Amino acid sequence: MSIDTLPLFLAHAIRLEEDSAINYDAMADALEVHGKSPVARLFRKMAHYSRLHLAEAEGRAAGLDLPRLKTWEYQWPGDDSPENAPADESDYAMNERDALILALKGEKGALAFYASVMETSGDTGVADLAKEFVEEESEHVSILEDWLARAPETGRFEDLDPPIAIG
Amino acid sequence: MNQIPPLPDLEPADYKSDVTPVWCPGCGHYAVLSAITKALAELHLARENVALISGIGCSSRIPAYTSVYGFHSIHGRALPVAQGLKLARPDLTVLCAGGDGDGFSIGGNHFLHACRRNINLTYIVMDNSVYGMTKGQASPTTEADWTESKLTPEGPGVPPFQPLDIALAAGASHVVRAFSGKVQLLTKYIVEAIEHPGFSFIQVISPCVTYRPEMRALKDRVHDGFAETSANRLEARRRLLDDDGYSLGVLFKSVEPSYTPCHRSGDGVSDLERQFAL
Repeated sequence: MSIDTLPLFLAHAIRLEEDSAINYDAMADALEVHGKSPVARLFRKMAHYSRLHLAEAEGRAAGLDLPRLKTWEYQWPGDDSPENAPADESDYAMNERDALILALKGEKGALAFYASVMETSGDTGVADLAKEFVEEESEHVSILEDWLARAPETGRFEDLDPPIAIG
Repeated sequence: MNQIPPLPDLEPADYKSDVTPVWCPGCGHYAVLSAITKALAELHLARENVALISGIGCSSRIPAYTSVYGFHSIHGRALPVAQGLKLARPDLTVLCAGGDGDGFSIGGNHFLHACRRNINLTYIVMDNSVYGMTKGQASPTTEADWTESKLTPEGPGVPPFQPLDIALAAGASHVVRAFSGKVQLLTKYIVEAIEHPGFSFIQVISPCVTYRPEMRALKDRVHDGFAETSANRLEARRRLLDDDGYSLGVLFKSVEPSYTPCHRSGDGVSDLERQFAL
């Protein structure tokens, strides 16, 4: 992977934050529907932070002519937008601690992406901006790790009629 | 003369409704909804020119979560409704969606004949190998030895339905397997399916983490076994002999004739009424 122009890099940064916000909101909606408001609030907060970063990336892109990429043309390192917390690892019985673990995976995904651009881009301007984003994402990772260290081990939601009846 | 202004580009979010999905947290169907809305945005389709038809089941709730025209039909009957709509309104982009139970069991017969007619629509089956809405019974694609349901404590005992094999044998002209955990690829497949002039079938492996939490491991099992697309039906069927059920890609694609009805001019509702009159 090599992202060598500022418009291409910012197109990726904008999509990354957009996708992340949408993903966190969808996870929050799903947990709210299932009555898990405290966990939903945490994901909602993460969606809010993603939107703040989105605004920052859009600000950086002001005046630039960004390429319009198709969904599958983004050069993500994995199968999905890198800051997307792995929604498939969520479930209806998760607690706030579980949610923090997922959010941390999302932030680490974004960090890895920006670090990779920083290391591989052939353009100094792109590498410098990626370095700034690496520093920001590192800060987010540290904050989440701190929250996680302080999060109480509350146990999972107790379901008196669990879905798997046998085994 | 008044000029009609060009349509603004719609974003994926514009194709979502304000109805919050009631799917379980972690369900693969969220990703399918995301991929469908992204595909519609990629194709710049006006919402009023798209219809999404479904049957019954968790995944069949999907029309309510989109802002295109939708019809949540009866169990197993999404394809007849979708085909009828496409024949009556060929100008519409018609998508049909549902689950493995709805599509391969209750609607299994319709699936065969939809493949055979090759009418230009896209059928997306969110296959989680379980009846989730009714709390976790074995479905047509459940493994014979799956023992996690009270109804089949020793497993369903019959080999699973083979959707791609059946689709090829019955005449589908665009046959794909995708995974909900690969949203970018799924979006691409849906775009290609909509653009294909014939019946496109996409089996999307879409884990149910509530009733089949072991399906989370599938993200490490899927692979690009169908990376090469065949235009030869026989060759595509041969490739299925080596398929482990987790190969992803466009297995088969061929432009073939579609069923077109003979319309008799002048036939209207009153003519039909006369024919039915005793």
